[in-house]
Amino acid sequence: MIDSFYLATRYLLFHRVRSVTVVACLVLVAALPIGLERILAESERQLMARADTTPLLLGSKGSSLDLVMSAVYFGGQTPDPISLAEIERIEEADLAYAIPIHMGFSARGAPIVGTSVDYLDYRELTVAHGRSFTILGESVLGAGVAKRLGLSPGDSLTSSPESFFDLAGAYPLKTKVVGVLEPSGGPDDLAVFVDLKTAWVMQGIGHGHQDLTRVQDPTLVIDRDEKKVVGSAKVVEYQEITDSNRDSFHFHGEPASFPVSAALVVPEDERAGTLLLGRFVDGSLGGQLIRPRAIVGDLMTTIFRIKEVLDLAVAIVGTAAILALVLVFSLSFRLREKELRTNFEIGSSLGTTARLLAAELMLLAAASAVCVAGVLFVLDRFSATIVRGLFVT
Amino acid sequence: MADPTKQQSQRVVGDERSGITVSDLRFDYPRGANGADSFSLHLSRLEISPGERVAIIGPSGCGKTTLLGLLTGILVPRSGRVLVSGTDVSRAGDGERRRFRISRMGLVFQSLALVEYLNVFDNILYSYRITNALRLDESVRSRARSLAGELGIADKLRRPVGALSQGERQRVAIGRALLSQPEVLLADEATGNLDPTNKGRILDLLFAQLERERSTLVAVTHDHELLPRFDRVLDLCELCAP
Repeated sequence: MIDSFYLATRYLLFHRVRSVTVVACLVLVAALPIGLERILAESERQLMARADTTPLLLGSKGSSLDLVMSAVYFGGQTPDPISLAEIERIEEADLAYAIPIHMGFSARGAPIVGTSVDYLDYRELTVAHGRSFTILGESVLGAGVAKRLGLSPGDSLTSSPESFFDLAGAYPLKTKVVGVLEPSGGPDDLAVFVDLKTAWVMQGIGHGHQDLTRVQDPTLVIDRDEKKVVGSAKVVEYQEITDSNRDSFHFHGEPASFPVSAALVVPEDERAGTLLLGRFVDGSLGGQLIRPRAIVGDLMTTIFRIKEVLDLAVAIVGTAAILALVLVFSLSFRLREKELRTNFEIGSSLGTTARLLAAELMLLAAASAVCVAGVLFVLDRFSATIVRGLFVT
Repeated sequence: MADPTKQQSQRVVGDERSGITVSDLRFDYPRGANGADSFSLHLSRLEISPGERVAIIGPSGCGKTTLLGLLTGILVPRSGRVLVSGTDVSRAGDGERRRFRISRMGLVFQSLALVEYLNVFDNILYSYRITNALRLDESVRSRARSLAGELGIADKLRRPVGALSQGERQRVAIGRALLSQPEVLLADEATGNLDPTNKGRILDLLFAQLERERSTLVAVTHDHELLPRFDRVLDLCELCAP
């Protein structure tokens, strides 16, 4: 049998392109459905785990899925904002506390989450290096972001403008990295956290500039009276919050009207949560309050329904690939007819010839199995990261 | 110049236990599906002594290759008897014929039938790799290397046979046939593609090997220059019964 394997190995190496193609086909046929199954299982695990730790979510009326994907997984479309006042109304009910979440900005590919330190406490996120954000202009990085961007406390990170074409919109804001979180294995690893006020500065609601009451250049001031000073377009807004200019940053307007994307609502207990949900159903409170678990459950049901169709497609493609392989082998045997005839003429037994062909198939199957095992090993090792990357954009 | 077909062997005609004896052999190829003509061979008597070197000549299509096929048991006759080294290959079962062929015969095919995906060394060893009847060990490998040296291809052992000249390929085929030190060597145009120098050299080697092993040689050839080197030359057309 060893000689059969030796000859089969020589044959496969001689026809290496054909061998690699056959192995690649077999690996695809075997690894694709298994890999898909594992990615889906990991997706379900991650999505449900995250949803389970997010009891209620407050957001604007509209797509509840968008709201969940944005505020819970930091991916997808940013929902329409709600005002800070709506969060305050939740808290006035004395049934839950709410943690604001401001989305919509990013820095070098990582979503920026404007929130309060309560968020880090609620998600049990601990700081591995440095400290948490405490004042305006500071940021804390998720472990994955810090690793990917090679940043550590003391470095700076600049937000991307909301839109290159929105000249009146947000300008980039340089934040100072003051901490890096411990890896959590969730979407938080891939996000940048700033104080809610810092997020508002990014949005242009708050800003800092030269003190117009003291400037000497008259072209910087359009109008001045006892109550207010109106600056001209020449006034330079600060794009970095530093110790020296921090006090110049201020907000215009009523804080209660300032926008947030959503709020993570933590009810005192199950009954309190149900009562709160009831108030949204009867319309006494604006926006929508949802249970992320129910939304994600519906999403997974849909995904698994799609997967059934996908399984069928994979089965059809797999069958076609197997048939193609059968054709390849039958053609190969035809091409080897001369060699097999020689074996017979020299005096090789039928069994030896069968063993030779079986050894070739076994080697191809073994090589494919090793490759499939390798692919699945890599997939198992990195599936959590791959899935996180799928949902966090 | 003497008619080589009239040469007579100086050797003693062998007995049935060690030579080749063919009696009343009949074989037919039916008319082929593609319209090929039918063919039949009738050989009433042929005796070849052990160690004898016999050349078989005859025009193309007279059945020389068919006769080799019958002697090796690759083909099975309709009737008659083929006795090779005491084994009745015409009546033996398929498995026995194969085992007999690989362990006690050496074959050099007209097409050479080398295995393209193996190198020179593995081609010489090939018979040992496709049977349990022969055991491949270091002594066999050593013999293969020595044989390759005598055949003038020792420096090409690791080369794929596809990279060899036709003459070199022929020498590999001869090396493969001789490696098992066969009792009977059957060669179909064994030197057909060689230049005169190599032809003489290969025949010298072939005959030396056969002499050493006291093996019998039955060679089909069209090359009449070689005929004086054989003990006996048989014209198959004359040999066959009408």
